[in-house]
Amino acid sequence: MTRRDLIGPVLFKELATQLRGSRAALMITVYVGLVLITARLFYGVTASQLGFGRPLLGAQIGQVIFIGVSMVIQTMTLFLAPATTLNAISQEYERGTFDLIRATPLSLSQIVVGKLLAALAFLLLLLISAAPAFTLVLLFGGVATADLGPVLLVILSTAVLGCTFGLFCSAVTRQTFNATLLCYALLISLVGGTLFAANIWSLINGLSAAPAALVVTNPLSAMATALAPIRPPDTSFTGGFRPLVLLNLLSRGVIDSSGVLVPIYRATSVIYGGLTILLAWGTLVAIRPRLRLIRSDGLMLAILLGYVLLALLARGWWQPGIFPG
Amino acid sequence: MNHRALARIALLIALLAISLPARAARSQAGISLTASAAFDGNYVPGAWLPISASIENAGPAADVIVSAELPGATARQALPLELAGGAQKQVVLYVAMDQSVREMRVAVERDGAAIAEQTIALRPRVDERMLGLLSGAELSLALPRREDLTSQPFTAVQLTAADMPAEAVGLSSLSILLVQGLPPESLSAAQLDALLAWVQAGGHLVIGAGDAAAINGWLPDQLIAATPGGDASIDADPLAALAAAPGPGALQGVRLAPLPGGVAAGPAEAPAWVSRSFGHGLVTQLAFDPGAPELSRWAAAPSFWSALLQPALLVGTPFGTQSSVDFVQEQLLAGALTALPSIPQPPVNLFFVLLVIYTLAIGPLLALFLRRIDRQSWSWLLVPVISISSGLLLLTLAIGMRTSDQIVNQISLVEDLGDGQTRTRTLVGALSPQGQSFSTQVPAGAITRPLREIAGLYGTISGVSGDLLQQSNQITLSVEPWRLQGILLEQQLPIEGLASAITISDQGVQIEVTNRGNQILRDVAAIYGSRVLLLGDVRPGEQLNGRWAANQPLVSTSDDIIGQIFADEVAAANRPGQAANRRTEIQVAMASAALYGADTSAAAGPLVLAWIDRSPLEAQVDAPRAAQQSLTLLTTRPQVQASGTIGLPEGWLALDPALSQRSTCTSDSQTGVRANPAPATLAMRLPDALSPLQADMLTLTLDSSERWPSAGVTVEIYDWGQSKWVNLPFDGPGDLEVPSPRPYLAEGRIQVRLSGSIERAGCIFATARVQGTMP
Repeated sequence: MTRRDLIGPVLFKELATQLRGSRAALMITVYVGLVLITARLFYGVTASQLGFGRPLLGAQIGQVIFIGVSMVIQTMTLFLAPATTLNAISQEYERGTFDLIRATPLSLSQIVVGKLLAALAFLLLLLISAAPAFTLVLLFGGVATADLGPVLLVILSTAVLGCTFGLFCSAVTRQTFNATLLCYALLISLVGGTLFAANIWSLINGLSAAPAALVVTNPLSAMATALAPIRPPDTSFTGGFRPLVLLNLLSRGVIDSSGVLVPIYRATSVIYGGLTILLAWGTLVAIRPRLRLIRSDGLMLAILLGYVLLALLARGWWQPGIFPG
Repeated sequence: MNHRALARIALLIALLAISLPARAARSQAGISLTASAAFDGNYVPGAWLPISASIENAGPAADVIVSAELPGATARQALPLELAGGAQKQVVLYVAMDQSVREMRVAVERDGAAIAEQTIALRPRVDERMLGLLSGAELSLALPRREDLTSQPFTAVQLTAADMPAEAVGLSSLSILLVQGLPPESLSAAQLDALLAWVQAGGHLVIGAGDAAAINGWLPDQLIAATPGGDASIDADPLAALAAAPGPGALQGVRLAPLPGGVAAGPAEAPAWVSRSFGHGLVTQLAFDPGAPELSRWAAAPSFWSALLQPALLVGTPFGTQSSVDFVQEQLLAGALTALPSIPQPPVNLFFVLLVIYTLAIGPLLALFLRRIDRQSWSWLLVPVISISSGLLLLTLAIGMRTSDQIVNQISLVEDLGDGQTRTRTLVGALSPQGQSFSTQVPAGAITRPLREIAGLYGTISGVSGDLLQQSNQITLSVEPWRLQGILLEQQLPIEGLASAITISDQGVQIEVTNRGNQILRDVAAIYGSRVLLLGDVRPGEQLNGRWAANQPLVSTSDDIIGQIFADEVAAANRPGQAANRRTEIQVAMASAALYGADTSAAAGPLVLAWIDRSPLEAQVDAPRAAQQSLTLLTTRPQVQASGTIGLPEGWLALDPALSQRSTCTSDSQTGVRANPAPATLAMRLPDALSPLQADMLTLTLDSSERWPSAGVTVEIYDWGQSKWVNLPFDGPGDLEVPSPRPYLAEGRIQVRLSGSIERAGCIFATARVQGTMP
């Protein structure tokens, strides 16, 4: 068995072709450029307080940049991840090459996993290329290594789910245009709808905190709760932009001025993991020529049950404050 | 090895396992604790309470911590102790009573576990007069009963010399201390220093006649109001006047000769008592024995004691009234800690330029290069390699260029008590983005407490939590993320720094400031008679002279005095678009704390302020990456020297609202006293050193906030020699020339009585110019 067989021919082919042309270079430049612009913007807003004679601690700037850059990366991941896979299956159908691939000895799961891993690899490349921008945070300080863990967890779980979701839409619609419409309509509904619901709930309940469950699936709320423990100052010893206000808007009910009430990013990651398995299974089902149960369904069901069992065992870590009991 | 042998070994191990904890338990039980609170557990919330603890160790030597904890408190005072085997130690732990609680837990701990503990019952005394009776023998006063008073009831506690705290904070719960018949040498030097600092902060020390030799023998000069002479019969009229009842008849006592600044009650040849101010406090020296049987039998004795044993001052605080300026001063100083310094930022633009270059390199430049060599798939390898190597390079650069991410702000107020002694209070605030514990070196013997929470100039500051080691040179400051938290250190320390003297002669008023220390005295400001003279820096060993300009404006509120000291800095900060200078704001707050009460007490006298670079009570916080700011203000009272014929402009003979027994009022930056109710008696006084002045010319200037009534106002001045009021024709407002003023200025005091329709004048302001001869 050759190395190509091991890593999968589809993955190898995707990796070999994905960085051809100027599109990939342009994406890397725009991605890193946006991260830098965000960092400069947040630095400028915070540092402008120096003009008013307000002292700024380096850590304060570092935390503001970290929060701003992490939010931007999460937003870009949220919308870029599905885009990397939206045409992965549908394009094969549109070009009429899917049946040719099916004629090869490749299994459906090899095709799906190959395309998924290739998309994730590209997303990972983007993230790595943006990493040097985080040295700005180190220049100012204020962020501990332990603060990176929750942020990375949220970004990676969003990336995996986003890629799988794009792939699922692509497989279900078999047309890139329809897949794009379906994917982004659902995505915007998820992000905007949950925030809207939480804010409306709060408005009609005397501005009290909305139940955390309302925003538990919102990737931006999850990132907000992952970032909130960094706790930039909300007092007036020092001047500066107060990103906690922004984070609070994104996660009404789970963050307040005293800090994180419910760290929903844990539940979000757990839910995203389950959804990823479900969507991957759905993709496998969608690209089958006939709707019938096969052996891989049993495997996917076992993976899903195993995951649910693990999630149940670890419910003390992610469940408190979100779902009763 | 057979089964039986194995069983024996197992049994042996089991027995050893059982015996080891038992031995540990015995050693724990070997340490016993007996603790008691000073003043029988009575205390004023917001003040300190000394806890005496006796620890006996019947076991092996052990290092323990004696701690005192209030219910619900996040911080506690602790004292590290080395206990030798079989040793018994007596320690005093000073506990900041920042809560109104009825019990306190005192414990002896080893390795964080309590091995002996005791709960002490306490009694908070809010808005009461805590009276300490320090006597060689049982002293009983006929004090008014609690139910007979409408406010400020007495809580009297008997004290012996051994009960007297060796730290001024230990006396802070007392508002009055009556000392009677205490043998000389009863109090140690530390106890006397504590007494001195307590009076300076606002305590009222009452000294019974007792043995005249004893008074001369042991009290510091600053705490003596009069020189006791031979035996004398004391006229009871002043007692009767104070009690508003017939007197107890003549009392046997001693003849008191008032010292400069001493105010005598009763006939000059044998006054009943003499009062003299020191700092914010008061010393009242009685000519008679307060425990005399005549007094005990006197029916009006409760009224007399209630009127005489008044706190020297009362300050409103969230805990209730307190007879010390400490709370207000600490709040002013703690609030100033929130004005954090500006920190220089790293060269961030250079960093952004490098990141832009990196972005171009990893994006278009790399793509063009790989296309040229037709190896575009190498991007999978080259992008991470370039990214990681650039990241490492920038990381190294960032570590080298990063700035402070913590701030330690420290301010220190050093108040000269005289005789080279100072009362020094240092407040330390720390701010960190992460929860952190800072190891801090402080001079051994300092008393430490967490700061009380206060909204300051730029935010809120609160106290640190955890154990605060007392009288240790190593303490830990534990702060939460982004919370400015701090501690207060207090200690009486000797200092050699600033010596100053004001010389008054026919040439005018001149000040001489000598720097005897080894630090530069910066921005020295001398304040006398509500006038400010800025002298600049005085280097070690240097002497500076200054003379006040004749036409310098007169200010009367401490805010105006501070305004004159920092006029240039405030003007610079007030320019359009100019940010406030936080260092100046801290300096203003510190000067406000130092000058607190200066506008309501003429007895305070002249004052010299100087900034020094290093506090004698400096906390060295181990935070190498922190931006540290430190400010120290030294205050001292210059000696006033005058001889021959002198002329004193306005400001020297100043209105004393406390002596006038009227509330103060302010209008147009002038401080006066309320005219209502009539008659209004205005007491004006000279600084203590000028009290022997014999006036040859006296001009009063009277004014009011409302229109001066054109008719119906009677102005009288008190003739001390003949003990009567003398009418003065005056159609004010304006100058009033007092003819033949000598009888009206006695012991540096004059009294002017305004009656009739003066009530319509609102707030009355009085200044005076005086010329005379110093004997």
